[in-house]
Amino acid sequence: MRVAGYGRVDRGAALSFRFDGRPLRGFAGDTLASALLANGVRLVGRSFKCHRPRGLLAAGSEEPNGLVSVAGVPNLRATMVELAEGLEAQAQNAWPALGLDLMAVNDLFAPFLGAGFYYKAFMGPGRTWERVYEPLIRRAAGLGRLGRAPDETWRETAYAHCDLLVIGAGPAGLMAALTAGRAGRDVILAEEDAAAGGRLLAEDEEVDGRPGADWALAVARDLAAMPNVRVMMRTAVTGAYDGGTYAALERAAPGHAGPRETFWRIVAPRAVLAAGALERPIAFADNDRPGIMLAGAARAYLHRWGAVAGPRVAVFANNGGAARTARDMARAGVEVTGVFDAREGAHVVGSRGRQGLRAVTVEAGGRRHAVPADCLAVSGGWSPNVHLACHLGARPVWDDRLAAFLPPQDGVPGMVPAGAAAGVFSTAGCLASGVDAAVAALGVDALELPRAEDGAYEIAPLWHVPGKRRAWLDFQNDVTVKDVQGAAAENYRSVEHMKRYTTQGMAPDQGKSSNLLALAVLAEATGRSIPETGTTTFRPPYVPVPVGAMGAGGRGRRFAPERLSPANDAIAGRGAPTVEAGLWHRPSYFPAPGEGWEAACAREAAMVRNAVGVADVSTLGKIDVQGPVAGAFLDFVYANGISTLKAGRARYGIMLREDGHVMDDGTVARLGDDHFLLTTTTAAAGPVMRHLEFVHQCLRPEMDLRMVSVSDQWAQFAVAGPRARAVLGAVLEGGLPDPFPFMACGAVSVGGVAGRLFRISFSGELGYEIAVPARYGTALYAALLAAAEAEGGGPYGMEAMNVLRIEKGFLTHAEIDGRVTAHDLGLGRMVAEKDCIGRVAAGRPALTDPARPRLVGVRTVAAGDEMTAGALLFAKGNRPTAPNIAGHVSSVGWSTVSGRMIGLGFLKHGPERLGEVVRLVDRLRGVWTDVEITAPCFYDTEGGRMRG
Amino acid sequence: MRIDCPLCGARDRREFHYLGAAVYLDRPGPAAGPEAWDAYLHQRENPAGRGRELWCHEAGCGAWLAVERDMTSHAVVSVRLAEAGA
Amino acid sequence: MVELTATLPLDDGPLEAGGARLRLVESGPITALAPYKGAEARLSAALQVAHGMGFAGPGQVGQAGPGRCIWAGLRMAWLVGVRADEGLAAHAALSDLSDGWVCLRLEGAAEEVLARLTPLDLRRGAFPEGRSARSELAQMPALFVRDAAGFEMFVMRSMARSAWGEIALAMQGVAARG
Repeated sequence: MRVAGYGRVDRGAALSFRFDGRPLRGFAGDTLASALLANGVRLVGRSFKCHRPRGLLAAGSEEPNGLVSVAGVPNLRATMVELAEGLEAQAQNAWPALGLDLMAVNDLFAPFLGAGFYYKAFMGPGRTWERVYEPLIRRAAGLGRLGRAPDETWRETAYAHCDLLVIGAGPAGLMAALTAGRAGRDVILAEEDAAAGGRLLAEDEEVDGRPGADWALAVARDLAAMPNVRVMMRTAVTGAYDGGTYAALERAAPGHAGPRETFWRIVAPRAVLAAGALERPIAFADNDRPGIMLAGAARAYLHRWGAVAGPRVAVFANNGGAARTARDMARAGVEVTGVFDAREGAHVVGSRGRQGLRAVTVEAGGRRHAVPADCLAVSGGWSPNVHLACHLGARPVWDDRLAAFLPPQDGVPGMVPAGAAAGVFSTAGCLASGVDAAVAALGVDALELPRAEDGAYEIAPLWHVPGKRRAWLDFQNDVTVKDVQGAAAENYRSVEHMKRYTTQGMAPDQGKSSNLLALAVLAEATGRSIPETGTTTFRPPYVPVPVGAMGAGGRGRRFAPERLSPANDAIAGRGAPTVEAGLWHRPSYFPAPGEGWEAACAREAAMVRNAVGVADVSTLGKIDVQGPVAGAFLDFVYANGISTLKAGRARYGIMLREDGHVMDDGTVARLGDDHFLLTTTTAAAGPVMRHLEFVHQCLRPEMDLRMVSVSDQWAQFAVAGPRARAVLGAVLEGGLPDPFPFMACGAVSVGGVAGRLFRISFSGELGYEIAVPARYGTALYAALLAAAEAEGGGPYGMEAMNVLRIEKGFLTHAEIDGRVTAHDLGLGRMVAEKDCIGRVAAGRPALTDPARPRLVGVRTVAAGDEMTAGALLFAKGNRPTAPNIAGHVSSVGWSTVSGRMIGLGFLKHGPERLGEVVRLVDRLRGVWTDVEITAPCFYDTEGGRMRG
Repeated sequence: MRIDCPLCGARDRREFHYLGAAVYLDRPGPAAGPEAWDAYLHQRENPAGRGRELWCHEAGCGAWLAVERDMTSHAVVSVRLAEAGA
Repeated sequence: MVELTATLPLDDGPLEAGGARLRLVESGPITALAPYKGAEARLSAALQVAHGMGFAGPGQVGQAGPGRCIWAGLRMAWLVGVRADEGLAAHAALSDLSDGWVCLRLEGAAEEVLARLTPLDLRRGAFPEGRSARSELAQMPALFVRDAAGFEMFVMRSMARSAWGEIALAMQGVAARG
């Protein structure tokens, strides 16, 4: 119900919303939680396991019970949902309705559903667990349903840097930020709530003679006006990481267009942890009824939102919160039906009212009596919010006087706790603590302190009231005192075991309201003190973070940058579908109208063999290597000799890894005495460049040479086929250089533009590659295609390129897959007699064993049969099982020249088994074929066509 | 984790590529024998404490760096250009 | 006789959003200068004579007329805006990068936009005017240069469209937050 004259909601801005379809009204400034309470709605959810009716326990992000779905997003805490016009929220985990949840029958089975029940019950008979119990239990339990549609929500990631990160904008945090800000330091003040003030928003407190909430608002405005201070509201710091790095999740204000969340990575050499303290309940029999909430939350609902859970409030506490809550309620005109202070021997031992509290049972002076109440405000004391200080593995420190854990000193380098997070609970103490923390962190001057109350915190520890009926600890996972005691009895005495066995603290709220209680119960059950029992490990994130926020920008095409060739638009204009090679997009084939890929591929390959084709090879890696000892350096990184290459010539080279396996292959062109141009496989350009720099900087720093990546500088096109000369003759200024033998390279000119020509062939036909600076790529491509089409040729793509090179036995990373050596590829003689990367390891006996699978060609025996890349090879007559694997197929394609599918692969003793028929087996795709082993070349084995 | 590049200053570890132990700097000669090469390629100490590693500031200046780091706390103790010597 | 016309790496025109302005800039020639061993001082002297500025050390940017020498990596700087004097080849490996890299310029609320794109510390104290830095721009390698009006970002030509798209989206994100 709403209390007149209380709350900071805007009563002039009424809002309509619906909860489970029921139309209700609230005000701007309400959360969904406060609006529900104001409307007399106490039942907000059903518990995970037992489907017990539950109400709001808290008023902040630690709320365990009030989980709702809004607009298809499940598991939102109603306390964190800002009310907006037209909001539609659904309760979770109840069927068919929150008020009549048939799954509550689970509660009758509670004796069978205790902690670890799935280790002890529902075992048999037979496979009943998998087939019956598990699916049923899974459907019966759970919190919210995930939508099936892809999440298109707009989110961002971002980075920020500051001198001081202040976590929390309560009194301590505001003073810390002000102290550092006035000293001219760069400050980021992050507050999880939508408004600054912390507990000042929830209490009837004055600072400097005015309401604490007003003081906080004014300070926040001052801070926001400082150019060196960045105030981030609705921003929860979710984790502390190494190197002074923090993660934070910023939520957009409701109704705001733009990214819903921004996930920040903040670098702050110093931080003030002013994250406050969280209140604990006291466990007693049936302590989970709707209407039973934390006393501090009851005061927050009253002061901040003008709402109470019902007209009659009782109070139960082991600290001064009892008197304070009773006083505040009475002042607001709410009937206080009882104040039970455990320090005076009064305990609540039970409650009544299944779907909403009706009465509590109190024991005092040996006698029990029932007390009517719609709301029981409970306080078991306050726990400093130590999470972030423990994220790097440090453990919190027990304080007997406070009966709570304090953050460890230097748990996170550079982080200073302040205020309630440091165990300081009076307002004046918090204000001073904030200033002190900023001074300690940065060495800046202290500020004068505003006036505020400085009361003492007096508590007598009480964790649970013993009783026969279940007393709840972890509301989210339905873990009771009995469960923890049972775990101890079954010898799960370590707190880490108790946690996992009972699942206490493993729910989305990370046990914020139950950890210390469970720990205390375990300590009691095992005869140890609380510090002896210890705590479990704290891990980020402090509050749930959507994966979509952490990974913002990582969906679809934005997953990685796209690299486009200079001829990309022209290629797209011809309707060529693309394939990804590394980050690059390359054309697969150029379909004629109505042509599928297979027909296009066959046509393009035939076109290259019989006329001429033009292919875009701009995407290959290109590295400029220059310097007086460039040749010697390349001798060291390539397996074969490079320094003997003459200027104006190119050579095929293979690079090994230091472990003797082939890393990459490519062409090396010598453009001058001290100038080489290397090419790499498209996707390997980055790793090869990095490797070359490693060799230079780390192994051969004395060698005088320099390397620069020029991959994007040049547009480059292959012109291949018997009519290639005619095409180039039409395009090059002055025609083709003559002579220009196979593997020659040199400077050419195209319409006044300086370019380079290489006579190299990946197709096995007469072939050239012509390169111009990338800005002329589109124009050169068009000119080459025009000339090619005039010769009966045209463009060809990756599919045809692949068939052409397989026909010749040329290699790609399908063969060079990281597991093969030069010897496996039949290139053992390329490894020259010189020290080079990988040479020693390549000579290991196991790597030169002839029984290793070695490169062969494969072709189907029957012309129409199928082969697949990745298929395994078995000797005919051997069962196709793992021990009999004789090899595999690495590449396949339909070869017009051979009139069947051909491929390359690796076979044990391969070169000695030419002509043998083996069995190709691909179980994944259901292919079983007889194939013949051949030499790895199906066309023009002498190479006359490309050398002519 | 952040690494202090001698040329670029402190940077997020995402800008760097990790190769492995700084042992990679001590490449054996071709005649050093199989034990030396096996040690170089495959054998590593794994201290619960400080170790020396090679990182490349790939998204930055491209320098290879010898980094001494505490493997348990991730605290970076020292950073040097690898080409300056081991 | 074939004539080759040049194509721009991006068709996108200037974009304004979120208090920032983004456009493609024609940077003129770009030559990578990679000095040989022990030749840095001689290169710097030769650069001074030929182009009016010395060889840029880490993070430095030198300017003389239309030419700039921008630090771009370990023992590497780019001569931008003027053609490199051939005499420099005696002291350094020269590589033409005029077509390999593309320059995008962001002015106005550039820091707020770039916060979404790069882990660089963009505060003026950490990255003053007249300095350069190599870092990432939305997962792409980039060279950042700051001047009085904003930032220039050099990205690889093949990634230009991705870079433009990411910056544009970040600008919209800043604009939407108001």
